[in-house]
Amino acid sequence: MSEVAEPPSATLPARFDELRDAAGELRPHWRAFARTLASLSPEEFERRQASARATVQDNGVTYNVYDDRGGQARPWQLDIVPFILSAGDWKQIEAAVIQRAMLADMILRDVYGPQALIRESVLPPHLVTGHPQFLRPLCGARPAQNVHVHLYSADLARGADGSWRVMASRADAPGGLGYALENRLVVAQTFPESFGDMQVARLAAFFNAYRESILGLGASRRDRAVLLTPGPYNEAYFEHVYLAHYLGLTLVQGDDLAVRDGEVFLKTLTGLERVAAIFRRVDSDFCDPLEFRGDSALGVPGLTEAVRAGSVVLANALGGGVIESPAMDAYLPNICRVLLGEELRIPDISTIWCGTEWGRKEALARMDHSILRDAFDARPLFSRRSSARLGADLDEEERERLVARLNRRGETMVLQEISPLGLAPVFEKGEFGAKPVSLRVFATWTPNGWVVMPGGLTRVAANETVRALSMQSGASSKDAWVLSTTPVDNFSLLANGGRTLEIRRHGESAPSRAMDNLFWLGRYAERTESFVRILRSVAARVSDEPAAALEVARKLLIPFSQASDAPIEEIADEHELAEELNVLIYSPRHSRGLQRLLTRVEQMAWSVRDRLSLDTWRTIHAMTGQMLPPVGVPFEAAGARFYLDALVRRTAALSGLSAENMTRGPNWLFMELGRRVERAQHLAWLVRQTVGHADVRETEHMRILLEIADSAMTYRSRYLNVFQLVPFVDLLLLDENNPRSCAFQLATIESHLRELPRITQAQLNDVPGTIAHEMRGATANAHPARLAFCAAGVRPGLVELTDTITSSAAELSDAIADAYFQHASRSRTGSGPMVDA
Amino acid sequence: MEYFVRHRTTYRYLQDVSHSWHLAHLRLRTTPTQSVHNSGITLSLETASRVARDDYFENPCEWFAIDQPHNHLEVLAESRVTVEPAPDRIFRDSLPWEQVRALLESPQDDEDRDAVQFQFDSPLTRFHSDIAAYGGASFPPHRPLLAGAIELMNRIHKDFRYDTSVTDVTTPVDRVFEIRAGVCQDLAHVGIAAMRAVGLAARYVSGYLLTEPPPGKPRLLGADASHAWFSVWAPPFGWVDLDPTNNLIVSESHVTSSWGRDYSDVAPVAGIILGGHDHVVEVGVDVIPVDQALPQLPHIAP
Repeated sequence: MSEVAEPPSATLPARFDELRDAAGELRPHWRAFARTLASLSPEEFERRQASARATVQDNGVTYNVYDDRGGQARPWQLDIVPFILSAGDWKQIEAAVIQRAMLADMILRDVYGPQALIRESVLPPHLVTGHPQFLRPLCGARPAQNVHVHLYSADLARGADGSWRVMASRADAPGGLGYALENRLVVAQTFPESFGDMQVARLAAFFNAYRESILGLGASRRDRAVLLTPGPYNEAYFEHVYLAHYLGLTLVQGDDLAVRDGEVFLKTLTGLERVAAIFRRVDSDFCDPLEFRGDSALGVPGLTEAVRAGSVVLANALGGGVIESPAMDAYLPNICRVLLGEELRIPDISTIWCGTEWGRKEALARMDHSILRDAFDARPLFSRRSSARLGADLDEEERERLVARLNRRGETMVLQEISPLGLAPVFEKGEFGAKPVSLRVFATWTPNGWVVMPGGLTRVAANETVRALSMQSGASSKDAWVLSTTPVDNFSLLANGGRTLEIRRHGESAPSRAMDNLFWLGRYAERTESFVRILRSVAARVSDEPAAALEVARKLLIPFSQASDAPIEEIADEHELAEELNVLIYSPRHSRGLQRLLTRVEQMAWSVRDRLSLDTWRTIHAMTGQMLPPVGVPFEAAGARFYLDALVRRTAALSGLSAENMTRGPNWLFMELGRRVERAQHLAWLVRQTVGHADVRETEHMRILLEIADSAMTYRSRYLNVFQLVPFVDLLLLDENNPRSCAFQLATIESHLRELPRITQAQLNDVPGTIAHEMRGATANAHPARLAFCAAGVRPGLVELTDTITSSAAELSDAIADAYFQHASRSRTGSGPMVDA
Repeated sequence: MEYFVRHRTTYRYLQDVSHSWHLAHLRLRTTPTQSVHNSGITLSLETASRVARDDYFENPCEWFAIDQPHNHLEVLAESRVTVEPAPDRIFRDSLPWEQVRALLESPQDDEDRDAVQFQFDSPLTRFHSDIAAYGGASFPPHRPLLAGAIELMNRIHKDFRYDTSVTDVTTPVDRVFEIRAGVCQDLAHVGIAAMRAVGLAARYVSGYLLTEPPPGKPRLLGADASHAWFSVWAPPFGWVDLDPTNNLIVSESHVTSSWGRDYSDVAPVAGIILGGHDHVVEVGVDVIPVDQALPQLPHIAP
């Protein structure tokens, strides 16, 4: 493509250009890739970018903006043109990042240990004991082999002269590894020819080193290793799912873990299982609500005590936030000299701590062309809630206030100088340009020294201003290619873990919270299908048979969508009905509408994303991803039918996938149980609503209900077009051979329940089994003719049976939860407000 | 003065609690003016684990977990201590506050370095309101720190209404400052935040106060409560404790339990429970002079 040959038009002076040197020549390490690009037609390039975007979208790669609950996950932005690093550049980066990772580890060891750096005046105590992330309860707790940092990351950017600077370091719970990996998999597929030819260094060995090193610190390999995530609402939840899968770890949330007797356990269906290592993605101060932030619902009470007892490996160790503060950057060069006897290989951006007379004087002199921020604010610059202010942006009053604070409490502030970031080539909206980038590089501790991942997460600023680098403000990302001078190692973690595997027929025992969510995923998926089928039968009739449509709406649709015994709002005619359908089908605001239900299905699936196959996830994702008509457009029956038909097919695909592709383990069992319980309950309710009371138009009702219950074919094959209540009731309620009957659901439930483990006392008591058995007994003993018996317009036998099934199904659901999901809620107690004399 | 101190905390839960974890700061610490003869905690239930240790501030604390279902838990702490009167101090002889600030900026020894941490905001004293101006009013140029701090205490005592119904243990200091009311710990937090806003070091002290039964009435058991005040770093004297609730310099009638950056570091009993649904806590405290010869107390607020 010829565009790449033009110098980037928007280049500002005093910025480093990754692609070209000062003379405008392509830099040598870009030449091979530029040739590839030039060989592609613009159409082909577009096709590849679109296909990469589709893969990212399909895989559900997202970056949530925090607090943005309810399906607002933002698709991950990936620019397919990689950020290419020469072997020479990489050698420098690698050595520098290792040096910094070592320093971070050594500083933390000292800060939580002897504090010699403070006593010897290398480090002001302010930067440690004044740091909100300095976690006092951990002082003196020595982690396994005294390793504090297992994973370290540094954000690098190039200054105008091409030299690298560190913008931020992470040693508490560094993020981005999973996104870097996903970017790599997508981009390597997008440019297979270049990726193969250019000797791009592979990432898998790094992940293997990371995993094996931490597992090696745990006492015994037989114990469980878990990845602790804040949960599905976390901005980087996708990455946690992805890494857990890639590293072969169980994905858990705080609630899944329990501390007993100074050890950490995973709550599984069958009781507690010891945990030896926790790959931690929850910030330290959220990890133990008793010792740190009491308002944290993400942590594990007692975790700190387990750490002090040395019974569990946390990677990273708790408390690493102390070295992430910008104030620390001001002292790092000196610490490096003292601890390692050498200069920092790559310095931080120029930082002045305002806790000294000199620092304040400098800050006052420079503030107009620098930024001021809280000394301990490690949030990405200008991200949400970042404290950073550009001196130049301050008005008179703000400036005065800031100067006053600087004089009074200078120790809480830093001044940093920001130089423009280097530019890398990007392809956007059909053309090449150049955008500011930064590169996040990762290093992992191993028993044989630090290892750096050859690559990283490249972030591309949304625009030219310094404010634009955080992913939350709409930045994009790139894969980073490190060119190797030697042939690369093709080792892949997914293919071979380096060990001979023993054959296993079962997965590890399942965390009970995940099973709870799968159970509800099954219920919601089934509820969606039922609702869609009712909606479709109404929508199909609203123009041709308005009377029938109104009838179904009154009997089924409205009660279903109200789901209470509140008085049913009357729908006067088909126009009002069409309006109601419009809302129920499309509006995300109706609390019991279809869109809300779909969102719940997706959220539930998202929370167990690690237990669903990619195809299953894609099917669910596709259900919410369909185009909806714009708000305010009048109801259009053909469009609605088309939409609902597609949904019916997708729900069918979902149940098909779970039937055919899910291993018969606990994941499948609980999702299945949820589905069956919901269907039994729903069917009983449908039959009661339709024929519980005698009605002159009964034949038509039966016909419609058979269609909703997907049993019309079966009925016709047995009874042709003669609709009578006795065979109808038999087929939908009592026939164990009809997979759409109540009796079939109950039989299936009973046999599934027998598959569940019975270990704990609650499980041995088997309340679910008893309830299911009674329910099945009720249908087995029922006689269709007796159910059809009608007195004074009511069918007492039928009403009684269906009511029993509906209420027992609810009891059964609770009983399964009691026996398997351990629902105790957690709360804080204090000793109450103190009262004086 | 020798005291017997008893602090009983009783939890009652609406439903069974299956597991609970607690962190207690109930045993008394030694201070330059306080020696502890004995101090211990008794629990009404068997614990699954129990660890006694000193925390970062060298307060004795105790961590324990209970694994048996229960709907009732009693935590009883009993101690015997001797408290010496605080030494008389000439306010004027404390360093001017600017010099203290300079010392905090370049700490010279372990004591200075330890004081530094009490300069920074802590979870319950983080403020956005105008506490800085409020605190600043007591620190005109060159004023000896202790003179300023005592005036600050006087002002808090005068400006803030003592009210047990307006705050709880999680009320942030901004709210207290806004409504100008609260209990002893809220007033202590205001004092701490005001000192820190000026760049000085202040810490939170949790303890007990000897109270006097009404004239002619016998001492009622369990009628007292735990108490809290703040302490300012005033070289060359070191830490000086001030009680804004009662407007006095802490001396022989105050028993110290623990200190920290604020209440959250030294809550008498903190807990996390599984289940329980809802709970009530009852606290009963007795501070009894061992010889029973009650001294007259200086002006204690009613």
